[in-house]
Amino acid sequence: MDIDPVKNRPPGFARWLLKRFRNDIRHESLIGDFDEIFQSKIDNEGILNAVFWFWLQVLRAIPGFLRSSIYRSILMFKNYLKLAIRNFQRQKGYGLINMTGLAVGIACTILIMLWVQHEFSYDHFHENKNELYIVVFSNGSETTPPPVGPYLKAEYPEIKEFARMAYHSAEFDYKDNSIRIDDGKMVDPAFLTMLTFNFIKGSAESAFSQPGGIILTETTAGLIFGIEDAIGKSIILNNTEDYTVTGIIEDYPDNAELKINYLLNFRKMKDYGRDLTNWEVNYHRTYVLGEKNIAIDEFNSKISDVVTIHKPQEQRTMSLRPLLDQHFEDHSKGLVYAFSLIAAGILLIACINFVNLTTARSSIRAREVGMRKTVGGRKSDLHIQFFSETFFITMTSVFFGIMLSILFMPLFNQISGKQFDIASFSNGQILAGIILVTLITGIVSGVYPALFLSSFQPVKVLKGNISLGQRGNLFRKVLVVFQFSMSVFLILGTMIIYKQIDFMKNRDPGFSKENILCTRIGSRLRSQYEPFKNELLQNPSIIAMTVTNCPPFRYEWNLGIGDIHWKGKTNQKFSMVMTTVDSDFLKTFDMQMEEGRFFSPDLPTDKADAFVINETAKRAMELDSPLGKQLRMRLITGRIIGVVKDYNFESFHKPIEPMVMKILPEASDDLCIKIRPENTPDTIEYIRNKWLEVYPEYEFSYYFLDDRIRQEYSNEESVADILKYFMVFAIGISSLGLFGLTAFTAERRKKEIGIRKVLGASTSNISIGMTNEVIRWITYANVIAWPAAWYVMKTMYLNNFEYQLDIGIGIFIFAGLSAMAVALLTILYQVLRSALKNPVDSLRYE
Amino acid sequence: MLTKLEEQVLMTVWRFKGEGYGVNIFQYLEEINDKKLTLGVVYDILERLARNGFVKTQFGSPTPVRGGMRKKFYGITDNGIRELIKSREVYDRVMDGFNELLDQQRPEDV
Repeated sequence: MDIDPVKNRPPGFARWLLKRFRNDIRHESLIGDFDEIFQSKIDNEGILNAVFWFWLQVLRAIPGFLRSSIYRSILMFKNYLKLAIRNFQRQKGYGLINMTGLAVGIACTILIMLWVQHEFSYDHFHENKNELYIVVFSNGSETTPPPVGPYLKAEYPEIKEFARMAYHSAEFDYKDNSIRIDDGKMVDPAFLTMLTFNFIKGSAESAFSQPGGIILTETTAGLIFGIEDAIGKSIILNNTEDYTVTGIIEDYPDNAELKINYLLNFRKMKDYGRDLTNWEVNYHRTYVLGEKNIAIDEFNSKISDVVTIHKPQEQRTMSLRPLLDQHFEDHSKGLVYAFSLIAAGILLIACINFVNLTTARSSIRAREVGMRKTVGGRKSDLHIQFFSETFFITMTSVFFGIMLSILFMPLFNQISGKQFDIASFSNGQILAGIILVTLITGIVSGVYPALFLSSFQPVKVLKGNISLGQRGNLFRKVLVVFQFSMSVFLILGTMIIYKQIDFMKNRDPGFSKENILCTRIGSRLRSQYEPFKNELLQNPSIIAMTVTNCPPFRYEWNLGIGDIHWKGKTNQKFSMVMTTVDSDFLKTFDMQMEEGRFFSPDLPTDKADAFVINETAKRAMELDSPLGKQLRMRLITGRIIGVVKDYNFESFHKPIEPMVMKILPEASDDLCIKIRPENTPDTIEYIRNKWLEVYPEYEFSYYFLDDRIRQEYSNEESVADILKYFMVFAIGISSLGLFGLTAFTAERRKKEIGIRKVLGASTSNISIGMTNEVIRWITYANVIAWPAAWYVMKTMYLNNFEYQLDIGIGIFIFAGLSAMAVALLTILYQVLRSALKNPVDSLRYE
Repeated sequence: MLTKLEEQVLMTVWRFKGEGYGVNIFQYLEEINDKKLTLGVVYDILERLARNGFVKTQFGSPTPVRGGMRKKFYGITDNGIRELIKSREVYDRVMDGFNELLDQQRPEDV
């Protein structure tokens, strides 16, 4: 036969398959036979037929091959398992280091997995979850004009239904029981069927057939009615409105973007004097239910100018935002990814421990490998053997990891603000995740050691004259450096977040936040406000008090975003935040005027037609001398009498926005009282008594403004708290690995150190020699981690803040030194033990 | 007890007197059965026969035609021959009286 062996090769992939599956005999002769027939087929029937034949043969042969190889695997697996257990028993210390590291890493991963899964489960319980959208404006605002929903439904066949939703909170009166409940929503009846509510009593279709119906959650019903049956009962809201309970729903899930304690019919809005056909005002959210699979980008371009058609001065475009994206509007998706990455990083650190300790201790296994190879063990057999050992350790670690995660769950719930328990595991995604983590951990920790150990050449290892510990040394060093850079990175990240929080807490917000007590007032107190105020001010401990719709940092209550019109150079209208105040607002919060004056109680015209704007508004309106300029907001026309110095009324995340202030007591629900720092409890008691004279049936509840502002950072603080634990785990696991590695090195260098001592080296000489290397590793780790941490924290974290911390070099040095200290402490014991050892003990031959 | 294909393979190995290897055994089997076979199946049977001690194997020397891959030659063992004898006896008993029966009832086309 005259054959060009290169040109007429059988199909490579099929040939590879054949080799893969035929691993149970010396496949050389088999492949040779296949090739030979293949070549003769080429000569007789042509190349195409030959290739076809080859493939057919291989594919048909696979089932038979599989059967025989599985049979063999089961046989061998028992043997491998036994070996794995024996190996673990022989080297308990190292095995424990490996397992502890892996178990902690896996526990972290599991907890983060629960958290991530929960974050991504928001609003997924709605049956129509993929078809629900919220109408939003290009500036991010979700408050819309009332006719938007009806218009969308009428004009666009893609929109099946709409529902409007406005926030509500009220005092509930039933018999003698009076209670204030927040997180109510006023909704169109369609809301009940578009979203998913589980009705215990009543039904989504009938509950809002009358405008006077109210739907309560189980918890709310319990608060108002106790054990009485609530359905059909009448309650009074805000002293004036009568409602009948027409439905009881299960408590709304915690993984929902909205919090709902009770629901009212949106039609009630009309009773509040709101014009629901007016395109000029923005009151509430609009939810729409679309057809399945709308091309949302395309649809959004169609509806972008819907509001502008009806309200030509509108500058913002409109669009639909999927409800499922809503949760991540104010919860950072980046944070979820960052935490996932960090958890993966910690697991990786644990895997590195495994790799390092296994390869470092390879000399112990080398003879075994040599023997196995000599008696005919193939490389792939050894791969499988070492892999099954790794998987044995991984599985055990996963078991302990799950135990640990259950143990740490209460702590994790506390810092993450979630409610996980053992039942959280009974979730398909979580279970799949755990299996995946097990596999990945096993593979990542197993691949390199398996390849490494199985590559020993029997002749060399059995002769016993190669220094096995040296092999893979560089690789191990690189991995240790990586572990510690990760740890330093986490130290830096945690510190930067804490520093930034500190920075914000200590920053001057432009108003005095200390000793300000706030409470919410109702209509009764509003009508008796002046005498109430005069009475309180008689107490010398009470300095000033004011009513407003928006105490600083409570911007979520700020409903008044409206269009401002004025006569100016350019840009004669845009939306501004409106804060309603009274004449004592400035004094209570100790704010400064930039120019002009604040509202005066002595001038009745101030109440009627005066506005005060902030500096940012002055700049935005491009007014050089704003005083006396005419403004129109909604239906109110007036003039500017002053400009207040900018103060942070939202948060330090955001820049200060243009704001206009107006006296409007009927829209002001928040009472803020500035008191003297001395005798606070007495002062509070005094206020409480006065309050109870007006509202004998109410509990007086209040908060301090500075507490509330501190809570503003609770989100950041809980992130930092979680990070802190991650950091501790990362350093802990890295140190564990370093400990194991040093212990091994010390053991291996026992004789060397003995000889050095005999030749006159002092204890300190030897200690320094052993420490030097570790110092070098940690230094490299810092060199890598510093720029990485600086860059990542700057771009991913600090840039979210309008007011940023200046990262000084100080924390870098601190982080570097702490990592160094931890590492040195870790090796201290081993170093001292070897350095102090009597050389006689280490050099003596048995 | 050997299966039919096992009998065929074992008989073929014997027939080649130690010169049989994957290719010629396979081709001979295709020829006598007059249909396409799967090479992998033939290998499985050879393996099984070897495990049971009915055939013994020996590697030939590498040849350039096969890209340096050695051939694996199969030869029958005494145990293999005994097994074939047993099969033969069963076969004879099964086929006993075949010709008489055929004479009594012969399909037209045979």
